[in-house]
Amino acid sequence: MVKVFIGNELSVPFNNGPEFASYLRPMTDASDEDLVVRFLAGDQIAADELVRRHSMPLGRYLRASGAGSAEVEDLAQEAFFKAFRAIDSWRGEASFRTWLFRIATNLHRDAYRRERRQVTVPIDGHDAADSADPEGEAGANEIEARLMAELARLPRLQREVFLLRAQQGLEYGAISEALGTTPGAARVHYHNAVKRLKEYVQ
Amino acid sequence: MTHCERLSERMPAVGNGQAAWSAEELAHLAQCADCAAEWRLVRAVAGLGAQPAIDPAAMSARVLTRLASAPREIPVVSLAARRRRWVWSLAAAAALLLAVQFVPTGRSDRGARPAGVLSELDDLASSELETVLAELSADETTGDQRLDDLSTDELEQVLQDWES
Ligand SMILES: [Zn+2]
Repeated sequence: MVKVFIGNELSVPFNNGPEFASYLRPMTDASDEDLVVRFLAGDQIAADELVRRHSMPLGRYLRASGAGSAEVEDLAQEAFFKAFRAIDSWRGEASFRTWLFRIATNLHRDAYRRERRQVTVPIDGHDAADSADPEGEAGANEIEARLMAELARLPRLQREVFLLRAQQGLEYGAISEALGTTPGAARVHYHNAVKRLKEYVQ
Repeated sequence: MTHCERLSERMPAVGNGQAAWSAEELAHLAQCADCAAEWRLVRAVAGLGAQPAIDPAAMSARVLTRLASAPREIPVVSLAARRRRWVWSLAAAAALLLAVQFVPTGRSDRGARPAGVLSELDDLASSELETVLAELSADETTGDQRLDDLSTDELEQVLQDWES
């Protein structure tokens, strides 16, 4: 087998298939799907790039979804681990990002259910904000704190839809794949959330 | 789609820096209170949760270390689906058999099956049919969770047992 050396880090089997073309692009220019192909071929640098690309947006999503600041990193790390470990199940029908957010959302839902079984958290304005942000880190400004408190009061699916759309810029089709709903239902959830939250940023 | 709805559709992309407002859209935002309020919300949410306590390089290293000692998972969905399909087809056949058994024939041997119908299922004792039906109701409540507990080899063995 002929080996091709690109830069100082890649050594890949040569063939003329479309997969080979993905090796020719610099890592940072490669699409997520190309990076997954590289990872499947044993290239760990591709996995590293996927983590660098998606860990911060994923962390922001989990944080705004109500995960505690100490919990965010563990959830994100577990989501990447599960995503890479089960990469053979990913068939590219959804984007890698959608798939990753789906795994992370499920992990966060499970963690929330476990916590709810263990402790009873009283819900009023302050507690809703505090449970998402025990150290007040997110209360950098008043609007953000109010928004976090109101987000915590939204029904879970409505909150997740709203964040994937408004914070992450996902289309309704991708949101429905990530959250196991329909694009039409996602659209309704989004607009209901907008209606409810608009007044808190006046 | 109204002008307001078009703007609403574009807000997440603009808020995330994937697109920019046109001059016409900016003019609308300046004079439409409803769109302006929604835009303030989307912009605030787009920046929400900024700077989570994550070190991407360290996280990547930890994930890759864990992966090195954990083999990639082989999808078992198709195996589970195969088993479900098989159980459901047997159930359908069993239901058909029961239906045939109790169809009024107008003959004196009411309830007897026409000879030769579903001969394979004729050999199943009623206790075996009950087992199949009990298995089905168990499947509805816990099927996938229980399957998830099995390793691929165990699942394959179960399939072979069932299918033989
Ligand atoms: Zn408008």
